[in-house]
Amino acid sequence: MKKNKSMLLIAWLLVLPALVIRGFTIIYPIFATFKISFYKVSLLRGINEFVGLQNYLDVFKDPKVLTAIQFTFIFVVVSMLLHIIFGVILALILNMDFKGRRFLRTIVLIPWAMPMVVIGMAAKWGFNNDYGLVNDFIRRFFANFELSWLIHTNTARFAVIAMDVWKDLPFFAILVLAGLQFIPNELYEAARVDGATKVQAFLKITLPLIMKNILILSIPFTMWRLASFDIVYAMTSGGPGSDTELIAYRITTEVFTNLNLGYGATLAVLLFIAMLIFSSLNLYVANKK
Amino acid sequence: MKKNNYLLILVSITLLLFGLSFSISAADYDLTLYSILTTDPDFSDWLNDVETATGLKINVIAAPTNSDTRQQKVTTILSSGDSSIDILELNDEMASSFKNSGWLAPLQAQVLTADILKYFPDGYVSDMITSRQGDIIGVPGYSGYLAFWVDQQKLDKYGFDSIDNKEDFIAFAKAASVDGNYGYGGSWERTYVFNEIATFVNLFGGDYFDWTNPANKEAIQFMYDMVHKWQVTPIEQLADKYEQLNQKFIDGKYAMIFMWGTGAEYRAANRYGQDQIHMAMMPEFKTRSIFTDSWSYVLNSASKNKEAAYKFLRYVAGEQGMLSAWDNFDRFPARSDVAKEIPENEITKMYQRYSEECIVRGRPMAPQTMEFITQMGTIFQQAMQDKITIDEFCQQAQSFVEQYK
Amino acid sequence: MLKSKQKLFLTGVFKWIIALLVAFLILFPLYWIFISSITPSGELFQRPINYLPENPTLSNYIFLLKNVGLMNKIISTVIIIGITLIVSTIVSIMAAYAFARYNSLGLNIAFLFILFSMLIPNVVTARPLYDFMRKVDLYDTYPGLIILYISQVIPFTVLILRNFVNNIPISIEEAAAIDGANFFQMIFNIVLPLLKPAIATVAITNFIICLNEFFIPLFYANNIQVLSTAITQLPLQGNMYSVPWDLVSAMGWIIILPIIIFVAVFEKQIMDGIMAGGVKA
Repeated sequence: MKKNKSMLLIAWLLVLPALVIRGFTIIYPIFATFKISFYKVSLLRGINEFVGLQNYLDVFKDPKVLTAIQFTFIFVVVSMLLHIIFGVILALILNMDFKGRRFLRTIVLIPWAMPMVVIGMAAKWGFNNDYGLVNDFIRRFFANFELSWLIHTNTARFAVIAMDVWKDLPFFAILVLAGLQFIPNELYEAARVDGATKVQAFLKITLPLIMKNILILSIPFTMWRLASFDIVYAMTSGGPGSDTELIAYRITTEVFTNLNLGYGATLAVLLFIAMLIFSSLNLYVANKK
Repeated sequence: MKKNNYLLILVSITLLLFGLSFSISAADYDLTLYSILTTDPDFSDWLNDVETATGLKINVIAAPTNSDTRQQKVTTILSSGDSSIDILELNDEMASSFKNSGWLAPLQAQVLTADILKYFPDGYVSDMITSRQGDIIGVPGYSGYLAFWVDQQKLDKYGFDSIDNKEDFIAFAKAASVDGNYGYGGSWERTYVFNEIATFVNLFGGDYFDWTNPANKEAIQFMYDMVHKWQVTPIEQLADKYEQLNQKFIDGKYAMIFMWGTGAEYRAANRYGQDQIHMAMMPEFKTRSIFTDSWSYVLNSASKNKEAAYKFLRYVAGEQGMLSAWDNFDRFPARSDVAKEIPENEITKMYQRYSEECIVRGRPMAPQTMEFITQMGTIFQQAMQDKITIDEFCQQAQSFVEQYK
Repeated sequence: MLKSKQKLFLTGVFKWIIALLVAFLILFPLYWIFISSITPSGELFQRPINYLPENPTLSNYIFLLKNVGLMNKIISTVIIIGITLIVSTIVSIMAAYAFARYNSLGLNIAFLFILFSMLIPNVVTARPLYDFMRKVDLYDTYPGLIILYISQVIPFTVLILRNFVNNIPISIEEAAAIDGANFFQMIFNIVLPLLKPAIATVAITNFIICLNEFFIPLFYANNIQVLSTAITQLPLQGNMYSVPWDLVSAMGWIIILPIIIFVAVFEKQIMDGIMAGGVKA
C-alpha cells in the first residue's frame, strides 16, 4: 500500500466525486427522515407538531403495520429459503456441461433484466381464475381446477412470493454459480477415486465450500426483499384485506397516499434499523464460518 | 494517442446529450395541464379545440392512469407547493380530500360565477367540491352515474321484464345463477368495493356515515347473503377491479352489475344494445338512489399562471368546452342546460330519468378519503370471508367513520 | 463400452429435459404476454386460453405508437441513461481505484459510507429527497434526474470495480513507476486496459438497471418522461377507472423487447462480469 501524504490527497480527490454525488442524495433525506419521525405530520389535516416518541409507540399498536411486519417476515424468510434451495439446484443445472449451456444461461438472465412493475401487472392477470395463465396451465392436467389465487390470504401470499422467486432466483443462481467455479476440479477427482458417488461429492465437497458464499450473497438479497414494494404495488395493492402488504409498501402508502409524513418516517427509520441489525448479524455469522 | 480519442468521443457524446436535453426543454407555454386523458386517441382534437377557443398554448403532461400511482403523484405535487403544474384533473376521492387543504384555488369569483353555477348539479357541487369556507375549488368535467346495467339476453332467458325492486333483484339473481354463471357481479377489490357498499347502503335507506343504523347492517347482510346464502355472486370478485368485472359481464358470467361510464367496453366487444347489455332504471329497495361522479379540473394554488388558468377553466365550464368533451371523450355534460343540447339517445334518456326519478347523491367521502376507503374495503373483505362477523364489521366501520370524518 | 455410451446418451437427454423445463418456466409467461398483446380484444379472454390467436393484430402496438408519445420517451431515456453510464463509470473507476490502492482510516470510513448507503431503501428517503430536489431547483430537470440515477448505481459499481482492481497485481504498477511513468500514464496505459472487461460488465449491468428504474423518473419528474413509467399511462376505458390488459401486455412487450435483445447480445459479457466480480468466498 502506498502511504505518503500527497498520495493520500490524490486518493481523496479520486474518491470525492463519488462521495459528493452519493452524499448529495442521501445525507439530507436521512436526517430529515429521522427528524420528522418525532413529529406528527398530517398534511391533509394541516397538523405538524412535535410528539416525541409517540409515533414509535403507535407502530406497535397499529394492526396494519403488524400485519405488514408479519407478511414481510414471511415473505423474506420463505423467499430466501426458496432462493437458496432452488438457487443451488439451478446453479448446478447451469453448470452442467452440455451444448445448450449458453442458450440456457442467456434465458436465465431475462427475468432479472425485466422491470418488476411489468411483471407485477402481468401477474395480476396471470393469477386470475378465469383468464390467467397459471390456472389455464393447471387445468390442462386437472380439468376442474378453480382457484382465485389473489383473494385468499395464503394463496395470494404464495403468488407474490412465487413471482418474486421467478424474477430473482435466476440471478441468485448465477451468483452461486460464480462461487461454484472456484472449487478446484482436483477435489472432485480425489473424491471419485475414493469411490464417492455424485450425491456424496455434492454434500461433502460442494455444499460446504459454497455455504459461506451463499451466506454473503444472502445479505443483499435479503435487503432487497426487506425494502421491496413494487411487486405488491403492481400485483395485489396489498390485498386481500391488507394481507400482502409489505412494510415498504406500507411506508409508501403512509407517505405518498395518506400524507402521514411523520408516521411514515417512523416506519422508515425502523425498517432501516432492522436492515442494519440484520446485515450486521449476517456478516458476523458469515465471517465466523 | 488512441486513449485520448476515446476520451474525446466520450466527452462529445456527453455534450451532445446535454445539448439535446436543453433543446427539448426550451419551449414556452402559457399553462401546464396534468391530464389523464393524453393517451386517448381523440385527445389532440380536444386540445386543438381548447387552444383555438382560448388562444392559450398549453403544455400537457401525461398523468399516470393507474389509480395508486396517480393518487401519489398528485398528492405529492399539491402538498409540496410545486408550481410547475397549473391545472390538474381530480376524481371525487382526491377532490374531497384536498378541498379543505388550501392547495386548490377558489374559483367562484373568476370561473364558476352564479350565472353558470346554477346549471351544475347542486348536491354534487356542495358535497364534493365546496370547501368548509364555502370556496368552490373545481369545475366538474362531466357527469356520470354508477348506473345499473343488465344483460337483456338473460332477462329474456329467465323471463324477467325489468328489475324494479328488491324482490325482482333477488329472484333474477337466483334465476341467472346457473351453469357456473352468476346473477350479480361486483368489483370487490378493496379500494373499489366501497362504491358498491355505499350503493347498497343507500338502496336500503341507510347512512354510510352512521353504522349504528340498522339499514346499514341490512345492506351488508344482503351482500353477505348474495355470496353465501343465495350464492348469486362469486367470492372470487374480491380480487376484481373494473377490468375483470367488465370482462366477465361481457363474457356472460354475470346478469347485472353496477358500473360507471356509458358502455364503451361493451360497444368495443359488440355486446352493447337494447337486446344485449344496456343501462336500466335503478331498482327500488327501500329507496331508489344512485351515485353520481365526476372528474373536476382544479387550479393549483401555487400556480404562477392564474390568469391563463382562469381562461382555460372558463372554457371547460362553458358550453363549447362541455360539448367538445362530449364529442371527443363521450363525457356527458355536467351542466343541465348543455346536456339538453346534445342529440337524444338511449343514454341521454336514461341519464335524464336517473336525474328525475332517483335520489342522486355524491359518494360519501372523508377528508382522509383514500385511507378511509381502504380501511372499509379491508374489513368488508374480512367480513365476506367470515374472518369477522357482520356485527364486528359495523362496529369497526363506525370507529373508522369517527376516526376519518 | 456400449453401456457407458448409452449412459452418456441418457445423461445428455436428461440434461436437455431439465434445461428445457427451466427454459419453459421462464419463456412461457413471456410468450403468453406476447400473444395477449396481438390477440384482438374480442378473442382475448377465452377459456381455455388460445395460444395461437386466429386473427393476430398489431393494433395495440399501433395505438401505443400513435398515442403514448413513445419517441419523446425514448429520446429522454437515451439522454439520461447515456450520461449516467458515462459519468457513473468514470466516477466509480476513480473511487474504486483509490479504495483499492490506498489505505487510511478516513478512506475506510468513506468506503463503508458508500457501502452502507446501499442499505437505505428508496422509499425511506423519498419524500425528504423530493422536497430537497425542489429546493435546489433540480426537480424535473435532466441534471437532477441524472444525479439521482448516478447516485443509485454508484455503490454497487464501486464495489464491483474495487474487487477487480484488487485482482490486478500491484507489482505491474510499481514496475511502471520505476520505468518513469507518471500517475496518469500509469492509469491510462496500464490500469484501464486491464479493467476493460470489468468496465464493460458494469456498464451493461448498469444499463439494464437504469432502463428498469421506475421510482426515480416517477417521483422526481413530471415533464421529462422515460420508457419505464409509460406503463402507468395507458388510456383508461370508458368508465375512467380501468386499464385494459391488451394494452398493458403490448406496453409490457415494448418495454421488455429491447431488454431481451440486449441480454441475448451481451450474454457473455454479463455472465463473465458476474462470475469474475461476484462474491468470492
